[in-house]
Amino acid sequence: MRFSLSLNVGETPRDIASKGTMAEKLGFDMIWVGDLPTEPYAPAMASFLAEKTKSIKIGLGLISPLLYRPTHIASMIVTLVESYGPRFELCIGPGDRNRLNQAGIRIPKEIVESIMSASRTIREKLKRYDTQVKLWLGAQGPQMIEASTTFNGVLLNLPSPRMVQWASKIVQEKKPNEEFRIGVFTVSYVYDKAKQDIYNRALQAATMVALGASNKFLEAFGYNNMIKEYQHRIKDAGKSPPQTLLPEDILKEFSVIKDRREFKSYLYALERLGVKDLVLAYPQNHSLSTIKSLGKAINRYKES
Amino acid sequence: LDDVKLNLGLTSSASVDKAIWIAQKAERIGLEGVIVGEDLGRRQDVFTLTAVMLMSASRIKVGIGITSPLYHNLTTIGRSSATLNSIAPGRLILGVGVGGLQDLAKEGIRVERPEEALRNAVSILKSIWSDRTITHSSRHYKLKDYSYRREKGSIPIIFGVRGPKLLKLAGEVSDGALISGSRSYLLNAVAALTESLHIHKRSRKSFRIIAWTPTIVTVGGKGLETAKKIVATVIADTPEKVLSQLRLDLESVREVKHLVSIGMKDKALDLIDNSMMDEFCIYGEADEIVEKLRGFRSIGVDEVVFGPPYGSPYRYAIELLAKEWRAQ
Repeated sequence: MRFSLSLNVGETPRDIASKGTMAEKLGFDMIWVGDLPTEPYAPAMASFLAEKTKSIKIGLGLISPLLYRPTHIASMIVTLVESYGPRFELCIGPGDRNRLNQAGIRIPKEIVESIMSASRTIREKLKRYDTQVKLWLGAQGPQMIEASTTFNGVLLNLPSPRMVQWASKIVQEKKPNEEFRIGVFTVSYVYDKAKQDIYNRALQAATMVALGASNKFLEAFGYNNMIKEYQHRIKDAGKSPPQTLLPEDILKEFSVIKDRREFKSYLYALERLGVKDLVLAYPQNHSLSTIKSLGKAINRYKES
Repeated sequence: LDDVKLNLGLTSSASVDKAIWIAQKAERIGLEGVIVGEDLGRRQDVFTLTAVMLMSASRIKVGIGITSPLYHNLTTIGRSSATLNSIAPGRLILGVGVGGLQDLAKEGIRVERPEEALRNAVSILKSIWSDRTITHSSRHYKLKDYSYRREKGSIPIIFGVRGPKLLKLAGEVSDGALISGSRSYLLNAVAALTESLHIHKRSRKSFRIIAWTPTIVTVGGKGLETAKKIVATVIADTPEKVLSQLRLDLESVREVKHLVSIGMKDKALDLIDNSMMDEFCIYGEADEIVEKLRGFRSIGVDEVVFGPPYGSPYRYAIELLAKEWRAQ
């Protein structure tokens, strides 16, 4: 299994650099640089990170073809690979509905077709410029998971083993090629001794993931009615939902909030399900110390 | 008058190696900077390429000249330039314009009310960089409760414009203008900009006028064919209003424009005569080019851009020009 740390692109270049170099030093396989219409421009940050690190792989994404033209997305990768060598991977997907709305973009009904069309254009351009990268699809709903099998891999925003198993079944029915990778992207807090404020941030981030989950996915897990009820409460409460809105056991299905021992068992479970990539995100990237904790946990797992 | 400042220019069709070589060359020989034009849909991402160039040097300014808010979501332009400015504070210049008409047409983009598009673009970009929450709805842009709450900073915006209305607008709302054309056109453009600055009670000193005319060092006459191709493209992208003011055989010019628009650029080259070459391109031996570029100061231009197509090979042509620039 490859382990990646997702960095928060909204931080200063100096912080990004120090966290990226720390991840490289700790032996992470990859760093992912996320992209949102309201945050710094990820390809430029990826370029900055590549400049400051030696050889660690860098994932760009999730990049939305609704925000950028597909040829532009391909250009981002062409420039990065031409500048720093074959160190990059790309993940595309619809993107965050609310943030896209802020930038004047609506997710169309035929989003799957739109993403598939974009992926074809991206591939064509990458081929024209002789640029090879792994192309991932960020997915959560069943249609998008099905569509992902024409990609090099799927990054599931579904961390719990039973969710991964559900997604994996959809993938296997489509019989992807042998090289197809199943990856998990998740809110993460892996700790030796939990710090309450970071723990709370993780729960809050998990709340956002749960509330933003696709309807079909929620239906499949019987969460539909409960989440809808909480969505209504949030509407009434305003923009920032309090972290206690959803029960903690449910939030933990939408995140990896674990001590080292629990994390190790979790990794065994993912391995059994054939997961090849695990991307650990906010608030694990909060500080050098939280990154170190994760690095140690991963190294212990690798040693075992 | 201060001396005119020299920049090197390139487009996003260039290789990264070429871009880095040009940025480092500009830095080594003490030039003002490098300006990167965006060729829509081509090889490089202009924003990432700019990041690479900024990081490959430590002093020079790197300008994006230009990118189009009709092609990119305006928030992409706003936050990419803010990101570049955080990577290399104070060294980025953002050029915006509607873009090349031919390239936009290929992407299915029709240019409607360019003046309104650029006026709103400047206002929104400045809001994005100043920590404000923006709600905006117009023909070209829609934003709803949008905020980019990151490092603040002021980035100079220059307009890449040709027509009289947009020149006037540049004098009103932008920090500079990137203009292109013959000496006579530049003279008129500078006058229009200066008049607009005066009307809007803005200081000419803090406004940057940059002239970028395709330039080619023709060593012993070699390289003229390349220059013709560039001239054909420039003609195709020049608005009719501007073309009609030039002392050229308008019938031939329109035919060139038509042939390029239907993809017959090679045929158009046969129609490019010396008068069109003189109008849209600077060519000659290195010393002649330097003399012409330095001469732009006398008509009010602050900075000039050399290239492309430069001459062949480009490194040799740039070296030749740089040597002559320092000598004169």
